[in-house]
Amino acid sequence: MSVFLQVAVIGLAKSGIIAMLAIGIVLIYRTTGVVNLAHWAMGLLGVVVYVLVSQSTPLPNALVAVVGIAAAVGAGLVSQRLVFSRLRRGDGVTMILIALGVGAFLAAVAQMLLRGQRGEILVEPTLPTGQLVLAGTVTTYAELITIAVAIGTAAVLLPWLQRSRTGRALRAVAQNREAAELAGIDATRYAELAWMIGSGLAGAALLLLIPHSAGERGGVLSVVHLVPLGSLLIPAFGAALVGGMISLNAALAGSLIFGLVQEVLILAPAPIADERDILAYVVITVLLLLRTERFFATNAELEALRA
Amino acid sequence: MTADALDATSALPLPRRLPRARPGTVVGILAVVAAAVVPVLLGDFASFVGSRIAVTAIIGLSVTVVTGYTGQLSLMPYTFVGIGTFTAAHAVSSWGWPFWFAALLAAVATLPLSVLVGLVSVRLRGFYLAIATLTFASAVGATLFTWDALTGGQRGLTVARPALGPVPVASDRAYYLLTLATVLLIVWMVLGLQRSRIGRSMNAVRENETAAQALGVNVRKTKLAAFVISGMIAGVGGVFHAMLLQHVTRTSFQTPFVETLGVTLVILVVVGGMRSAWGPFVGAAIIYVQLEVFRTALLLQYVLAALSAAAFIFILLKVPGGLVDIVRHEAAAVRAAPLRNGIRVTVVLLVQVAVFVAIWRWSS
Repeated sequence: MSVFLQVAVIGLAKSGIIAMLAIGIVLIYRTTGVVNLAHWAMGLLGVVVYVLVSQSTPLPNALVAVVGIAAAVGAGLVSQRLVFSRLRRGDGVTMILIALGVGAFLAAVAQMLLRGQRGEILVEPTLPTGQLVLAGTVTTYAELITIAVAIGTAAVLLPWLQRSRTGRALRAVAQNREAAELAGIDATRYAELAWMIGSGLAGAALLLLIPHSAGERGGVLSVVHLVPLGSLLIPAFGAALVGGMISLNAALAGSLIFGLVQEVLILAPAPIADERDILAYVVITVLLLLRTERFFATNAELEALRA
Repeated sequence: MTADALDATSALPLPRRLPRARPGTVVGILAVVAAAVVPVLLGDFASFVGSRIAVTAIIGLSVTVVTGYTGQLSLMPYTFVGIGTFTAAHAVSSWGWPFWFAALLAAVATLPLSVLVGLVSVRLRGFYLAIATLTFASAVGATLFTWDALTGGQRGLTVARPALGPVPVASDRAYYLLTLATVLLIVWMVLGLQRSRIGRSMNAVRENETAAQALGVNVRKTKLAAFVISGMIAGVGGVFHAMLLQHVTRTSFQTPFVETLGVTLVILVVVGGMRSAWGPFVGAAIIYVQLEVFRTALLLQYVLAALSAAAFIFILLKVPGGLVDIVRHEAAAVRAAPLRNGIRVTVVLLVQVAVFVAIWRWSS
């Protein structure tokens, strides 16, 4: 039982990070029609700013993390203003290529900022390190806080999008841009807001992940992270696809599949436990082939996304 | 083409005989001769860089066929390269096959996967296909390329450069000439492909799938052909990649490096010119020559990466034809008004060189 709990906590923490990435991907896609393959790189820029500021100032790490998130928000806003707002909608391939270009650009900028630091860079933790024993299970503070932050984000963001004035405006832009503009909603402004929220969440997710990747010492930022398409981006897209890139609730459920279920399968019998990654790739392929979007949006909404 | 332009074309008198050699052909032949002679004269290192450009151009041509001609975005070119690389490594080093047979085998070995991706592309469009190919790249990296018998485990495999019958090509200079000849051959084949029936079907599918179908193009067959041809080109690229480095490891064909290499390759092809068979060659030459010239300035390499990503975005937004189109356009302008445009083009080039020298001095 305690082994199960331990694995479950690790899986839930991973789900939390995937969920925060997936929410951003869905929000940006719904509001602007852009499939943000630069999502990892935007968060990465936040982590790099965090690393640089925490190395050079004595400020508390939690405060520096806010600066990092602000940098990711800035990256999202600038990308939208300078690049994505100039795109013709409906040209799918060009749009994805441009998102890839923005990702490559941001990853190069991240490496430029780290000038002189090569190889593995030690990252100070944003959260308290150390372990605690809970119901006979050894967990870390970082894992528990990651889970709490992810649940908190979902608990605040989803009702806010559902009920608040801004949230309803965002959804209106997502469902019918033209009608929303006729009703007096400034679609450009809300597109920028979606980018800011989405990339801020990506920054927060990576600041929960990378600074705690090496246990007690904190974290390590290595060449594996400094790429345009990081390793958790594909599971995050998988989670978003569970909701057809449209439904946030389904995307949250999806993040449980690619985090919790995938980790818990380690306890399953041999062939399944060994091929957990492959199972995840198969699930993503099936989701793609199912074209899940049609379960979550009407044809009119899909037209609006592409027009 | 607008209606006016169409009218203008039809109003021209038909020439009795097609013109023989255009100035472009002469320039092209001179460029090819220069590409063959200059690196060889400069020495082994320049020849190695030249081979690297030629190998990247071969792999880039697989992107030209599938993305440039057919409009399908595949982010897994390096997965096919990996298959070609390891197949050739075994065929040449372990089984002692002659070089060209190994290259043929490497091309054929990509077939099962390229057919699978081709079939998936019939059902998925746009970003769905892009994400599917990313997923496949990760999946193949986590299965096939973790198989020690194929990849030689962590230590990798050593591959000897081939001998073509009695002629050894072990030296960097000889190997460069072999890769250059191969890339020119493949460029010629890809140019031929574009003019062929299947190539025109590919363009029709890229422009509008529904319209292409209405005109009687078999979309399924066309996409399948695009992926199969592209996979085979990448597989052959893998053979040359293996023999260029002479030692290959699996890491670069696994997550996250396989995706990163794929993105870099797509950027380079688009910057060069996605719809021209010369595009990958131009893109690879520009990027690798700069990387090698500024090799000692580490920071500048990242500046270059950022600049080429920015150039990529600019080209996608403003000049979809890439550098090949810009060069064509400028060449036409210089021919039309040699003095004015010649001076303008020279000034622009000099400013670019000056900017690079400035960044170089600043960063080293």
